[in-house]
Amino acid sequence: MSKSITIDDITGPEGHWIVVVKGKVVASSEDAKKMFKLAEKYPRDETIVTRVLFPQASFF
Amino acid sequence: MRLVDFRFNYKRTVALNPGTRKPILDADTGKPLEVYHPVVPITVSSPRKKGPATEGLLDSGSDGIVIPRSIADYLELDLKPSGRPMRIADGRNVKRFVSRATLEIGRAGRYCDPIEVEVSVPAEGNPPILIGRAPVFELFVVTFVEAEKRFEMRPYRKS
Repeated sequence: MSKSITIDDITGPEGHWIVVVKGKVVASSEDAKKMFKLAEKYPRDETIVTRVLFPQASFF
Repeated sequence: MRLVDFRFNYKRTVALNPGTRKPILDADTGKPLEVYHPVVPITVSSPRKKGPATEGLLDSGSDGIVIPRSIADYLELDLKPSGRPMRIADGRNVKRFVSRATLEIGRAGRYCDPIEVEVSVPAEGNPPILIGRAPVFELFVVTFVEAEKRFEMRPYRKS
């Protein structure tokens, strides 16, 4: 998995947490803890963990 | 406390079906479904652990900050059962825990001072990080420009 993304524009499996390093998705999982832990392996200032929000859901 | 002005575009998401890895299609147009959400760059940490850069969904309908249990576990937060349940979108009441965490808002060298916050952790479900009203909407004037898919956060100053 190495699709390029920007901070304002993401593509990924719905509901998954994804680890993005230098604009590349390096991993995804439903388990946020697993992805937060994986992010420790990468330089902090080049890594973000974000969520692919459900496209048809509302949050309250 | 140092707070910074922010202006962000909504995040555009094209979600894939986790099974097929193909885009989820709009039932009306047959094209990949695009959605836009106001998300704010944050870092959440505890006295024991600092999380990676992540994002929270700005949610004026939420009373406070909500994080999923899996992130609370990662941060090794001390969770205390709350006497007040959390009412979720489908009308159910869900048991929740509360804890204290540190929230940093910002990215690309523009950061606010860390804010000590109460976080709610639902006992079930896997929500995104929700940035509700307390305390972020008390510290900032938040303006959603829905027509332009962007939002602004200006530090609140009493007039």
